[in-house]
Amino acid sequence: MRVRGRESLSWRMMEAAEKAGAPHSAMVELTWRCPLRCRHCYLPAAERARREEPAELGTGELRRVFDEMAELGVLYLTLSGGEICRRPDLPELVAHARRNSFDVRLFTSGALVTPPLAAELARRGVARAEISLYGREETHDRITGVPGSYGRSLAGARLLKANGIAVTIKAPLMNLNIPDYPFLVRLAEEEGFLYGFDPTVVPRDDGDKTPTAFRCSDEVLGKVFRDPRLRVSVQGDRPEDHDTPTPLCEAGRSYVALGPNGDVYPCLQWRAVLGNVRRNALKDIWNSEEARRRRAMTRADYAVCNACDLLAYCPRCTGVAEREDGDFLGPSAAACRLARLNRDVLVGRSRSGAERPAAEAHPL
Amino acid sequence: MSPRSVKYRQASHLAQRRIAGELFVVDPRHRCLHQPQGAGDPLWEWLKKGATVEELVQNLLRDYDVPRDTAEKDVRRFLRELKRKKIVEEVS
Ligand code: SF4
Ligand code: SF4
Repeated sequence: MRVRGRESLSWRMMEAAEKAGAPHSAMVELTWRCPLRCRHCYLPAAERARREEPAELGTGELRRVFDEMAELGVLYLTLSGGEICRRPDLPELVAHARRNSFDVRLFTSGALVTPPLAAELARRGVARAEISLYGREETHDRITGVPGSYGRSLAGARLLKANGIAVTIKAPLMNLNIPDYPFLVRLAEEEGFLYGFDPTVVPRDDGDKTPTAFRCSDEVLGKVFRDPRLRVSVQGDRPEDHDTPTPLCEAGRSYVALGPNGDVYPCLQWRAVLGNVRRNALKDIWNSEEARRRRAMTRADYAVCNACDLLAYCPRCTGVAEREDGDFLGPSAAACRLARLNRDVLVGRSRSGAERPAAEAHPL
Repeated sequence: MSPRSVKYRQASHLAQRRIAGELFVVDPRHRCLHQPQGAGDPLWEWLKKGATVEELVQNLLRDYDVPRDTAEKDVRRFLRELKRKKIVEEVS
């Protein structure tokens, strides 16, 4: 989660959401089904491989949930997967989301985007799409496990862009693709895409730690963090931006997330089920005792992190802390490592007198 | 069409929400967040359906205790600002 400077409107919105006790951002997984088999994906492989998903919320149910989200105060709506283009009702869902005046963003591989679908999504009001592209053709296809997927994803990105949708290509930084990141930067610049990289590789939702083997070494990441084209998007927030009005994480506070079967979570990275929209209204789930208890936590509850010298440099994720280290209030070993690297790079830079870049360049 | 009969309306690509009484308007195309303040808040609401300068002035005069020339100046300044930010469109 990225925190903006205190003077910014984003900050004000976060404060307003706090005051209202309501989320301003929602992430909705429309499906877990996906034609790709990305090696680092946090979804269990069996879920992605399903051809049909009878437990997925239907169009009518999702329309109702979108209405409830708007009523609750959600402004930013991200539709994610699995592969969202697996859902034939995607344009209809986007249209309904726009009728509710959400800022709609899509997370997709782009591999199933066709010319009519791209035009339809633009017509229905999608302004932004984030597409996973991991490197050169060979690298990308090796990671997705699907030959030809690079070409299809790039074609999808181009189609969306040609229809006026702002496209960001994004990739995790892994030992599987790290040599290719300059290629992705060049590609983005040539094609008019934005780009973003994330050094965080997390265990799968079922606890399988296989993806963590793809993390880069400190030495490699340290070098990458020093690359002026990337350093902002891979680092945590600037120390002065870290004085948040809330605990260390916005999950369940200004963020809410929904799984394909209607389970409600504080965040997609933190799958503590708060309820299910098939059984209860979202508002009631949001105001349930369990959800309120989590919202009542303060920074002091994160005792170790709150007292940590590295906090200002730390990209800690509450969900990852729970999944990998067993305690959502405790330190996250993966974040500690990145915090140390961030600190070394930032301190080195301020010693060298180099100017600190603007914090909002290419945020993921 | 005479300039006086031109109707203005909030641009259709925007997203917006009122949170704890405050209005937040996202322009996803230009990656900006806006917040109409003061008289801008009701003016912005009236622009949802579309309104001419004169209609906006009349609405202000009806709801606020301001002289006509002040209301007219406020409306024109506000519309100029919205046009500059490309978040208002003309409708015929
Ligand atoms: S759980 Fe992680 S990703 Fe989600 S809001 Fe908290 S820190 Fe951010
Ligand atoms: S996760 Fe580690 S580095 Fe980050 S604040 Fe907690 S203890 Fe410090």
